Amino acid sequence: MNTKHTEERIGSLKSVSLPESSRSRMRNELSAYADLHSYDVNSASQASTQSPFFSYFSASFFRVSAALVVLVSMLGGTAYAANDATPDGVLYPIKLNLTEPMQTALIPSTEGKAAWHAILAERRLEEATDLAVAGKLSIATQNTISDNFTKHVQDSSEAATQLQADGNVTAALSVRSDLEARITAHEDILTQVVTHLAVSSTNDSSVAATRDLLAVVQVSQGTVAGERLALEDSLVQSDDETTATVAIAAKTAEHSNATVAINDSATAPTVQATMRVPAPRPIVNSSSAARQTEIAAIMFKNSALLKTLVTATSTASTTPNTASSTDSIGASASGETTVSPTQNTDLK
Amino acid sequence: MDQESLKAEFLEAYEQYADELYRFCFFKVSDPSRAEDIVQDTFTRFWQTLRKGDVIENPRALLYMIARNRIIDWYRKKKESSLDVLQEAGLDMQGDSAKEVEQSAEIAEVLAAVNTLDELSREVILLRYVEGWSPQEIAASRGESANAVSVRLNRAIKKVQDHMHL
Repeated sequence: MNTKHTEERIGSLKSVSLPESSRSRMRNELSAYADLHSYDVNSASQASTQSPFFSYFSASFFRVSAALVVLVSMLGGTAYAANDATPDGVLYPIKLNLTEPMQTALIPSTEGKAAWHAILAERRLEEATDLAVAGKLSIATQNTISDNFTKHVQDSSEAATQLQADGNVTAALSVRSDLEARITAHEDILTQVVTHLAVSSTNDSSVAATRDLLAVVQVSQGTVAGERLALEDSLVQSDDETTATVAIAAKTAEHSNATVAINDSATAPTVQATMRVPAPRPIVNSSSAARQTEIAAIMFKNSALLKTLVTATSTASTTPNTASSTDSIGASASGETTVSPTQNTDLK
Repeated sequence: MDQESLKAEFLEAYEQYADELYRFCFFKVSDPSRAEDIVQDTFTRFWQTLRKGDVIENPRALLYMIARNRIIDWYRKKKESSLDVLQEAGLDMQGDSAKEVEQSAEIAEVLAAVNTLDELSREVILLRYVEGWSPQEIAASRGESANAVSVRLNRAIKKVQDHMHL
């Protein structure tokens, strides 16, 4: 037996190689893959298959962290100043990408995060509305705001799902209802702004951008309302009804407080009275009351802006629209506000 | 390092190691298209490691480790007769000229012999006599002693000789 010969013959297997067509196809695909999953901090953390602790201290993270620290140091109080930045301001990207995420990171509880994301989602709509009313909402700004708004709605909703999974269904419903109220109110406001702009604005692209934003908000409202209804359906059937009723009623009181604070004329039955009235679906009713109260509060808060629309519009077509809206603000504020000033103090 | 230079390094590693990794996979799974899939998957995962910014001292060793794990995964999912597929592979390797046909026949014969070996022996044979690794390198790659690798090589060679009636 000739071992050397055998070895040589085995060595002939070296002529086995990747077919040329496959080789170039694979190279192209890998090149495209590398471009698609590029080398940066975001993809680095997503791609990590190691523990979050390890990836936190990975080299790329250190580099980006160091850059961030330098940036923050250089900017000094800029991040704080960015808190009030408007979408057309230079500090706005810092607000969106640094200040707000940092604030989010400081909130420890899931419920807190859910509520905070709802606030940020609403903040985006307020910023966009201000620009839209001034006829300065560009398509690009609208896209940035829409994306950020959608992200916060999703984050809030995901946090609510997490609360639900953890068994804290009352908090989950409260959070979902709160988010829905904020979006619904701003959907109403934006609808009125679009109606107003259609007859008064000279900036077509701003009108188009506002319409696009409204479409995004309407889709979001539908999704969020659907999620809230699904949760309510499951909640009504659960054994946890009593606890949820009390919790949601308390939430109603909290929202009503806010409304009363800005509307002295609001008078209505007390929360305690509401709680004593037997209802077929107490949780749903309470949640609905809380939502309506919050919608009223947001509408009231924006009533000055809506009045500006009325006075700024010279045509008669938008006036009844806004007027009826103002009426509805009053109606819902008085109809749904269920706390007297005395009761407010007691609840506090 | 930026994206472009990292990508250039990645593609250079592809050019350098794609063929031998393909052979490595092919001899283990005995299926050309499956071997190609595993090679591509291996490089995809290799890129994922690179883009995290990890310092890789020995890319070749890492590529083999990834490929080996992918092959193990594949085996877990599907265990099939390798000889039948080998013959198909042999057909694929046929060329036009008489020399190429002869070469294909030679490869098919050697492959058939090597394929009678167990999984581990096939790997050491390939790394030693096709890729030219030293027993020490193979040992380091597998976490075995160089002596154990040499013993395994000798036994494997004898089995191949028996099979080929050499």
